Amino acid sequence: MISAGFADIDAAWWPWFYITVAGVLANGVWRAAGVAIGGQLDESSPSLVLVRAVATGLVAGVIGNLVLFPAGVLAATPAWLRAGALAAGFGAYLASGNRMLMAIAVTEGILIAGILLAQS
Amino acid sequence: MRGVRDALGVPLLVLMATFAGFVGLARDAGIGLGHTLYMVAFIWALPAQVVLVAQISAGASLLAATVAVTLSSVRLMPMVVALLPELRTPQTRRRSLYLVAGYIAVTSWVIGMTRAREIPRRSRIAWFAGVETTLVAANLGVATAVHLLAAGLPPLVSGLLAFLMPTYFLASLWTTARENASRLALAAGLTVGPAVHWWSAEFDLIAAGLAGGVAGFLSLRAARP
Repeated sequence: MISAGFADIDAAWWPWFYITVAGVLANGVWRAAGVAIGGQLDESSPSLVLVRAVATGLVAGVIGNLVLFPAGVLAATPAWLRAGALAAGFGAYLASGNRMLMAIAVTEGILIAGILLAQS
Repeated sequence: MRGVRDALGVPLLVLMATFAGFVGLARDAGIGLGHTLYMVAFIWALPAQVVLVAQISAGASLLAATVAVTLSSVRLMPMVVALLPELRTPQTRRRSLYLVAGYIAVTSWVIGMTRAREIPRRSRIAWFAGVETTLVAANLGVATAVHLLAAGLPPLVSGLLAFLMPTYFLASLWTTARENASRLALAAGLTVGPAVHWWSAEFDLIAAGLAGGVAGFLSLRAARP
């Protein structure tokens, strides 16, 4: 069963089970662990820094994939436009003192401009 | 009630738009409304949800998906460890702590870390539960609406919504990364993940996590004399 994919078992309970194990439990276990060990753990201990680095690297991989292998209309845009828009938005985020709206406005603005220019 | 009001604001709008992008992704992967809402309500962590959807589209096994999601969610533990002392009193029941911890994610965490001090300590758990309930309820509404309407959205709009996710994740990761190890890991994952994706869509994220770990390890080694 552990080697079966989401669409591999044709039963109504299987997708719920898959999401529960690979999603709800796999994710929630860390929040529960945070409550259980809260207070007893030194936040700057090397093992915790390392654990955070693994988690950060994995989510960064998600970001990279969303930018380089997008679905839908974005797949038709050049990769350099998407990467450039994200980089410029991130630059605006840092320059504005971590204002999320600036990151979004700049990223999406460049993306829209790029898409519209390509269509004209 | 104060919690409801404190949850309403720009961060909630950004989160709702980002969730709309996620639902588009889930819908494109062939995931139904019921399963999507179940993910939103009971996972409640966008990166974990995106990882799960990516694993599902890649046809990943239950084991591989579990490993990838588990690795992606470790960062929730230090977030919970950091936030709970702000909210609890010595009398707070453990059950209440597990309950509010179950909905700590980036947006609620930032609100909790910045605003909890303005609330009398004995009301903080109730206040924070109000913040969380508002965020979850609003996004369940967004998820339902977008899943039902997604086919009717202009492709340009759904594309732009989808691109909110990398923007939001990159900015939030940078803000919550407290040490150089995490920043180096961010750069390592950004490059290694897509590079490995060329030949394996199932193990790309695990490779990105490992690359992050190696970068973090090297950074720790370099920091020590």
